[in-house]
Amino acid sequence: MSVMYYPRNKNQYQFGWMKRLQLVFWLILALSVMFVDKHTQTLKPVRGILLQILTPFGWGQNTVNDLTQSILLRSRSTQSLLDENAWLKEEAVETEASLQEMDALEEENAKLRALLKAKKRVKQEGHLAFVKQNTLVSFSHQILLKEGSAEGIMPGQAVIDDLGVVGLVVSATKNESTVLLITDPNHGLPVKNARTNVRMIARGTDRFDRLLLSHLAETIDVQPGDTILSSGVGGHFPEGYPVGSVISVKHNIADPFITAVVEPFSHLADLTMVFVLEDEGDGI
Amino acid sequence: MSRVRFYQVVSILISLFLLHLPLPTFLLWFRPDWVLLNIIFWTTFSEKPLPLWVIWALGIALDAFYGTALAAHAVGYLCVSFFGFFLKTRLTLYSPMHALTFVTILVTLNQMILSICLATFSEQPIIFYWGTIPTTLIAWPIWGAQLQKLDLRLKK
Repeated sequence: MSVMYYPRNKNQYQFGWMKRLQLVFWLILALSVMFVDKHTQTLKPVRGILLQILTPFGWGQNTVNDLTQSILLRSRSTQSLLDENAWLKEEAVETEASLQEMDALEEENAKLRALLKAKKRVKQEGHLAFVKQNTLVSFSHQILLKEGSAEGIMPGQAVIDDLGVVGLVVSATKNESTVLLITDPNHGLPVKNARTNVRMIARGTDRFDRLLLSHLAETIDVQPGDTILSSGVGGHFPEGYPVGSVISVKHNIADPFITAVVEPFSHLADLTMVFVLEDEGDGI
Repeated sequence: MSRVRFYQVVSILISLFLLHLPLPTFLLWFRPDWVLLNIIFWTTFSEKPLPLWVIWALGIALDAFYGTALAAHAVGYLCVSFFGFFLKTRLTLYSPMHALTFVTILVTLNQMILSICLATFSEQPIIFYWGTIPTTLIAWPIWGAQLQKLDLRLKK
């Protein structure tokens, strides 16, 4: 199958002056839009509206994902399902045991706070939400949730999963909401090093499994293996949630700063269920 | 709506659908630009080209989808459509290989313009974005042939 082309009548393909003027007009408009988009936040709602318009085309993606999941499920043997069931039961018992331990610790913590007369921190509440669509494209790392403002999800709320911080709700309609993942190139997350308590900004990259801690002074103590937590600065993300671990530190002779590469704990490319934190309280 | 316009709308909707098909994360940089193939076909290989405002709107929609600087794709697509118009009056394509070479020039031109726009108006990485060229060219013989079948049916 290939395309053959034989021009039939050259005179009918005229790109006249009127067309050229139109082209110049649209080009100038495009350049103006790019300029405005770079220097102001005016066009952010337009981007959101356009994404909403394109959402129905994601139906194909959902169908392929559902089909793959269903084929994988059907191809599994009864024995493997029984094994998984047993493993999950074991896991549930272990989790229950750790929860009891947590209750005891929480009680002890409350007593200590009372002794110190410290401000009582509000326990974080939220909503469980299911991922409807992953917008996995090179420059934009976003997910669409099946729950929206009807379930109390609002822009600005932090999103986590069982492993760590996932992202931030950037827009919400009645029945859907969009989450910007922490690995999006336009996302910056205030974090701190759990070992040294030094605060930094974790910026997204073009990869789903990498974050960058850039512009760090050479004197800052950061090492591979360090755990990175959310710092709570900025108010969107509560303090102390796990983000990822440092996998490498780059020293460039020509650069006065050092850069650390962080691998997020959450598997952001294949999320199915997340927890949207309610925007209240000042910590966990 | 004329039959040509109807087929143009249908093919654009299909290309937007194909754009959303899931890919493994390591292949994200190699997603074929189905919309660009549509624009190239309808502006260069068809007698009734797409209106410029439609090309502009498609570019804006793709920028929202990819998260790139708004209107960067629009500039690339408009330039490609102009060169498509401009060159087709001066070139005669006698074989599928000629057509493929012609499309290669247009796809590369689009990526060059896009890279310049992204480098100027955003801080996004642009090196890997060139990965879309080979896959778009692989998709061309299949997609282009289907569109040409439609176009020939319209001329009968």
